[in-house]
Amino acid sequence: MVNALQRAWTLLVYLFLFAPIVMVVIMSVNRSRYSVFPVPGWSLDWYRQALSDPSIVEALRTSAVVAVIASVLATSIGTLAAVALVRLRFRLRKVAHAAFMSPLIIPEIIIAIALLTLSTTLDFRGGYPIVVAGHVLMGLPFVITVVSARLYGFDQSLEEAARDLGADEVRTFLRVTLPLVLPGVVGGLLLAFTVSFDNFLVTFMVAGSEIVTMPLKIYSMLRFEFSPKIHAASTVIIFITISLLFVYRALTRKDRYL
Amino acid sequence: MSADGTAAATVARRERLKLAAHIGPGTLWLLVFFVVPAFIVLRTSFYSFVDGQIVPQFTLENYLRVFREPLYAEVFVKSLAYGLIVVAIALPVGYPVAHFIARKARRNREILFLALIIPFWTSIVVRTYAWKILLGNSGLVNYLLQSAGITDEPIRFLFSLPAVLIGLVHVFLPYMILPIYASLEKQEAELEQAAQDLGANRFRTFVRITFPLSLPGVATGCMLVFIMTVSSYLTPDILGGPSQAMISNVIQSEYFETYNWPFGGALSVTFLVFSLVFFAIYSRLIKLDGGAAH
Repeated sequence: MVNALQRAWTLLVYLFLFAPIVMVVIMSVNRSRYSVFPVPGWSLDWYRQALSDPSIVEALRTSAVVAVIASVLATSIGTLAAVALVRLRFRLRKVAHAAFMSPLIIPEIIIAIALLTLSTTLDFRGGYPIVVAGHVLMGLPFVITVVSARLYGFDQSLEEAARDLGADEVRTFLRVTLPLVLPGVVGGLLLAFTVSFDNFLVTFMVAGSEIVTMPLKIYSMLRFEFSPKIHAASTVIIFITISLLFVYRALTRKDRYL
Repeated sequence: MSADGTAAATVARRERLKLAAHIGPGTLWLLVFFVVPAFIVLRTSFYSFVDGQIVPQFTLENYLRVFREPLYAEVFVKSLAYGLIVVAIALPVGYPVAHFIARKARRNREILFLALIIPFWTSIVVRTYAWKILLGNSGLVNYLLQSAGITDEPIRFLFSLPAVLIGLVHVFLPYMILPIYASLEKQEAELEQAAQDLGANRFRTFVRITFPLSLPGVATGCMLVFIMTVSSYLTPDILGGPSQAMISNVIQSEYFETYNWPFGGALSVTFLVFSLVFFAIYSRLIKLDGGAAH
């Protein structure tokens, strides 16, 4: 009895979590201009229109460029930091860890305001560098968490053995540590990519008028020029991020709770 | 100095270099792109705003205004209240789900877990505007209500408090379920078995063993959901409109609509200090489940 109730409840909650996503996918193949229910007929026309709209294609490209640069940077910086946090002993270790994790608990609007202020002080007026800087900041805690989990998961004596056999620090890192943590590093890269690809608020506040990423494009279509193309574009990005999730999961399955 | 001392000094210097090479880039990034700009925001928050111009003249007026003008106090109180309401909904809604995945879903566990993190990987803009379709006058919810004969006229959900709360619960529910799931999964099944072997029924086992041991996960989930809800921008913006504005929306409009950066800065600093103090007190009072946060 309790079991059946709990099963039904779980099912309901999953329906609640997925209803909106499924609804967007359904509306993307709805022939009508209006999001009415029940759907009057089906069509792939909105995809054709979305993919032939230069501003949507450009936004997709911008998002991809920003996310690639930001995730590579976040992963490099974050992996180095994770190695220090897990392997090295130093006095301010706890403080350093808290500082790197802080973008998770600091309200995003505050991070956005700080970057906006910096950008204005330096007379940047938006642009790629400041957007990327913000996305790296937001991605770091995720990279560090995933890579640290992986580092905790393997035996440190492997690195010691390499050093005993005469490998120097750099060689040990490249030949022993890195290959072992690689799944975590790639996992962190994918997470940081998604964090950047989906980021709205920081981008919205600091991008200026020239950079329009996909979330900004969807937001402005929602506001100013509503068209079902928005559902088609959204479905495309939903599928991009979900396929990344499957790759991520395959890589980090063994590290629990990620 | 003895040869030993020199060698030790060399080792110590190498260790310091190694440490700097590892955490240097990250520290620099945080300093340049957050800490230093945050201090510029702090400085600006003490500047005056005269005839639409920022004047570098010291004043406490901006902070006095944050606390004196009822509008802003209301927005802060409202945002905190939304945070509490969303936690109060998400905890009872999410706990049974986390428990189900951790304890009862044997073969489907991986699928259920993946499904739980899919929303996290899906654009928040998309997930939020999708509720506009669901809750609209000719959306699915009204269609179901009307076909069930519960209402004749479509109910106007959008731009109201319920729409915002539904959206917020939807966006943040996974952050409640995941840490609870992690702390339940970590528990040793033997403990529950032992309680039952000693004669405790299932309810008693849950109340005395399972639930208390999952408290770190509950605490982490509540904190994440609370902090994220209080700082939401998109959900009140898209589903609520101006009357539902929360702290982040008000700060954004000070920066982009009235251009009163000193006052916007004072709001930001107040909000940041509040968040940090809240986090410090909360994590001191309750042992957070570090490994479960993500």
